[in-house]
Amino acid sequence: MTQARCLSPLHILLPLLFSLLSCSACLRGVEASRTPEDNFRALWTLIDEHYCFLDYKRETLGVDWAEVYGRYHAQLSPAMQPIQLFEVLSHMLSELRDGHVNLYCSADVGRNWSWREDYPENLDRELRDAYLGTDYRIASGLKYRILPDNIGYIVYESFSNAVGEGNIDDCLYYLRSCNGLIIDVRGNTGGQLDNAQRLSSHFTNERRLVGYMTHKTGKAHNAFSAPQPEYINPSTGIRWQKRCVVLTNRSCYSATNAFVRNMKECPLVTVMGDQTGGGSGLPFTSELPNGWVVRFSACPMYDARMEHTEFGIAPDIPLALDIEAAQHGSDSMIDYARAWLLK
Amino acid sequence: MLLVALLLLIALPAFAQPQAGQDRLRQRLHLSSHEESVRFPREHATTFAIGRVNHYDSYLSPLEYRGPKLTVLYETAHFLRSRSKAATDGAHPRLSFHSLLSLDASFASSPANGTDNVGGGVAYEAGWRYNWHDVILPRLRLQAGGTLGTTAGFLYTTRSGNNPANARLQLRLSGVVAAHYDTRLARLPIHIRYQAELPLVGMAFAPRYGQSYYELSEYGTDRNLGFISPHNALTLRQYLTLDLSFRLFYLRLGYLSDLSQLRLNGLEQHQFARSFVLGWARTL
Repeated sequence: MTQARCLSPLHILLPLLFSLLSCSACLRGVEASRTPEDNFRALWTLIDEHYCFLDYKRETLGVDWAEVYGRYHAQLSPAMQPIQLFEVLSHMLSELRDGHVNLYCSADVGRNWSWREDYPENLDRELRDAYLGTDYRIASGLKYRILPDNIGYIVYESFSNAVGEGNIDDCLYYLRSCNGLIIDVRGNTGGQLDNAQRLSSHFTNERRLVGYMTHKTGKAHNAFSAPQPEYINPSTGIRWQKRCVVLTNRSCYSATNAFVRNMKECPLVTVMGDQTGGGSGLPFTSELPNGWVVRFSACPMYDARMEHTEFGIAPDIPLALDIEAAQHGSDSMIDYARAWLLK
Repeated sequence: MLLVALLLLIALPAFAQPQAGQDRLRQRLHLSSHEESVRFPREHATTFAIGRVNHYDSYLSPLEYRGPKLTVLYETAHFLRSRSKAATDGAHPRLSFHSLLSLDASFASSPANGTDNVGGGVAYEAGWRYNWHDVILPRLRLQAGGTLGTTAGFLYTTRSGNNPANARLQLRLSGVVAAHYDTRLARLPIHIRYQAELPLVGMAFAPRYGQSYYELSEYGTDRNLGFISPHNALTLRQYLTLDLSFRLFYLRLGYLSDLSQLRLNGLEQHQFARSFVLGWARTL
């Protein structure tokens, strides 16, 4: 009889209801807080549990995230001003040397842009504008024209500027009689991956493996899903069938890095210029208890050989901008690409 | 597919009652139309629940967001006719069918920086309940039963780039208990109801711990559907209503408490909503 009472539904349901009503079993988020301690811990934990390159940065840069905690926690003080806390937290994030890691407050953006600031820019925008002239065409994000030696020239300044299949088709149709094509993505710091995929699909005639993508499956630094192969499928529109040069510099980041990765797998494409800036982690956004917004790399992307591209992609032909020639109105990188295409 | 078929099977009685079948049954039970409407009332209620919600979704933010929530509910309920001897003798019907369609929208803000979350969803549930009439007190009716329900919704944050929103999809089997009491307030007939619903088993969608929707859309799902039960989705929906009877309709006042939680694929979310309810009900 006693046993039967123990098994009655009420004995299961009542504690369940009580625990729910008392909220002892509730899943709770973090409460808003402005204390340096709470915000430091929240940021350190967020990166520790969600940032996707901690093991890779340990191998390549020697970043020990646990050691970072101790070093920066020692700089905290309960009386510090918010902007002082912001500096400490920004410096802590800078250890990762990742352009996709940022801290945003109303007064500033914490960043590490060493991926481009530590290198020559290899781009003179005024000079490039001179090559485009004033009568160039604009197809959404693409600016294009035919250079005097019958080479097509496309400038794509940001993958945040959307391009549709129609834009790309119209552009390539206009350039169809050219002897070669230059796509200049120098200074393009990224944008939407969809645009990168769409544009690169016009340079392959077959489904092509271009890389892999994974995501974190748990808090451990090495908890990742099985790599998911990434392909570009040939566009059903106009596909370029002649040689093509992609011009790069260190500012080619994020989606532009992915575009260069894709184009390197296409047989008629040659990448010229400087190494790209990298940024191969798809960034997520979160926030701290005081409301500051944090951006961080969440999903790593690899190339077709399953190699990291976080620190950039080397060009097939390294080129640097000749400053002296630039002063005489010549972009040596564009001119080299034109001559190479005409060979 | 099997679950969808089950849901349709349960939902069908709410929408389709072939007239010929009703007539045959009425004749067999020797009931006039008026007698039938008294013994087997069909109730339709449309109500608006206005209240506050507390959102937490670790995929989007570690913080809890709070703000107003509006829910529109459309409830139907009716007793099922029985061919048993007790039923033909005029005893109270024992089995009833209930359905609830709800649409909700919420607008919650972060307490830290005023960032907004916009949420929305639609839910439908239907099921049967067994009724015990005049239990303990005259005019007190107790109910116990089960419902099969589904929810589809989203939570969108205005702050994020690659993880700006999270989808909510759920199919669940719940246990329901309810108590109904008819009495009078002065000379006005009133009907009081308390109802509690506890999801017991089901399936829910959640992205993987660090999975982007870009990856989901480009490469498909990766074990994104998971089993739920109170061990990882302890949820309770309570509904208290007071129906004031007027000549043509009932004015329904009430309080709705919807505490739902989910822990799946390493992610956590909750939605604690408490609302006051105002609407009308009609008995056909």
